Amino acid sequence: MLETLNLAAIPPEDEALREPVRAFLAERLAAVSAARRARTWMGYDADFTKALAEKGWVGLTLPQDYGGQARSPFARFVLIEELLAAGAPVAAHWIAERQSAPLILRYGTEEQKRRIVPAVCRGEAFFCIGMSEPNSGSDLASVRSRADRVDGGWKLSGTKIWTTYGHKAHFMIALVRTSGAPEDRNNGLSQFLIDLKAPGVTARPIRDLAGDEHFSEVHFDDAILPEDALLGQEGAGWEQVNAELAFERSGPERIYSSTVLVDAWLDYLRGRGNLTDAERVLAGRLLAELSALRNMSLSVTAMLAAGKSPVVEASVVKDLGTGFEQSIPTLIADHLAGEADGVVPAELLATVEYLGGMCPTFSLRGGTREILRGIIARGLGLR
Amino acid sequence: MSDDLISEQFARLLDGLPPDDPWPTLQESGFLDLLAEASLEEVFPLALVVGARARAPNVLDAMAKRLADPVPRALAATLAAGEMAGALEAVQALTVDYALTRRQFGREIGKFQAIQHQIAVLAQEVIAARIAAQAAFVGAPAEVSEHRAAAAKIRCNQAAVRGSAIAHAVHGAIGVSDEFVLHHYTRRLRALSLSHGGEAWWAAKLGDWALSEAQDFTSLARAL
Repeated sequence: MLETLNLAAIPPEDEALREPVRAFLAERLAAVSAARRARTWMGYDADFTKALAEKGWVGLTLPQDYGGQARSPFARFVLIEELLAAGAPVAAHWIAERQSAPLILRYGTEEQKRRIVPAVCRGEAFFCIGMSEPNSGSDLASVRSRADRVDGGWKLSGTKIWTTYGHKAHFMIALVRTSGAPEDRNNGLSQFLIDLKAPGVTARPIRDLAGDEHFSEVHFDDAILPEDALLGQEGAGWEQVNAELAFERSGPERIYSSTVLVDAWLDYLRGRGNLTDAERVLAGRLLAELSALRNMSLSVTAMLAAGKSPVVEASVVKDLGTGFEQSIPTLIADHLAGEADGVVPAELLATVEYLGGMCPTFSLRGGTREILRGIIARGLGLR
Repeated sequence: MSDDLISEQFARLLDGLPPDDPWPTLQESGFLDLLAEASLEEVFPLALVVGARARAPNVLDAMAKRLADPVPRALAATLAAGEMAGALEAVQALTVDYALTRRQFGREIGKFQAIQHQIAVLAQEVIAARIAAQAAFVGAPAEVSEHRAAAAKIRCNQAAVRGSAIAHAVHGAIGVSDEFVLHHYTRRLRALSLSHGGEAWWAAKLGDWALSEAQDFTSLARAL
């Protein structure tokens, strides 16, 4: 069912986190160009993650017993809103903090929780997502990587691809087949917590259209994994991976990917003066859209804080939010195209160029539009 | 009385109005004077109720005129946004219901992925419109914020265009027949879109403010 999204306010104690985060970011990012900051959650900087963790801002909502701060989802909303709006390079810990640690806390053994989660909160254990394969994208149940039981553990073969920072992460949580055949679909799948330093594991970066190496191909060539690499129940991989995707989709990070560009554009206009009505109208439209999306995302945050699992509602925010993020580079580029040659600062042009090229990925990562609309249609009773 | 009870009472009143001359009944009900005493938070559910009625008289306008005549544009636009959100919710319900009833190619058209995805987009627009409107229904009606009114009206206008187009596409020819109820909502959505300032008018106003403030984009959204 699709619940009504009502306005939700950030409690004062969580809102209070904003100022220290802003001050920290202003100092850390002062010398970083807008084009670089536009990478946001594609920007990898282990030192930044370490500094953030020292502030207690990695694993904010995770339990204190495991190194977290046990703060509410609203505190995480404030932190993430500020990180993404400023264009902080959060890629190193992003996946570990958002979905891997929560997943391990839900399904892992006590030993796995103790070994991994505090290291995530210290900014020392980075994760990648082992879902997509060369022939499995949106059709995730068709994965072919396979782990077989061997003496004292598991033997894993197969390939994961388009894996964000797979070549830099320490661990992967991978969905692989442990019994049956690909025709068995979502039966016979399991999740593994894989130390990427294991023998037989190789990761090769793949260059993207901006010249960055943000994703990779990870091969498992009869890699031997210990017994306790299994995460959760053998054969329960499908249920677990859906819980992981729910963690991935529920945060506020599907609104802000082009915010650095909007700010660079607004600053350019303020400096230039002589505003046209077309510029005012675009600025007003973008602000109205952001305001609605932000309120929707806060409403989903309130559901998380109330212990609900707002899968359908989060899909609504993600589909609309990524459409918004994607529309911005084209709209702003079209305005800048009317300016005289040589007037627009190179940094603003580089920002619009980066986001214009990479924005198609915004609605791919974490589930495509088509997958999300299928989830929403089910929530409406159409499927 | 709780908000829910008031909306229920208001809905019953609207549904029982004499069609030829509803105004004496409305007058007697006391609801027309509501804006003088109630907060906008309390009025929001009533605006949704008006929007969800296929043939409601212009109650919100009448309420606003009791408060101030001429009605300040920000208040009129806010009330219109609330009514549009209610109408869009009704349009969504009609469209889902129709898609699960109408059969073609041997099954309900709502079973086709192409239709499901269109209705999913409609639902997104309805949710966005509702929360955008709700965000403007804050505080005393006489002190409604012009910037919140702008954000609400802009987003509800966008949703009205996108949502109505999808609803009509799913309904086919029956959707534009006089007998079928859909057009009572979509024509009113169009009329309300063009009342009290359209999308571009409000966007220019909101954008002018955004560009005159030395604040970043996210802070501007928080300051609305």
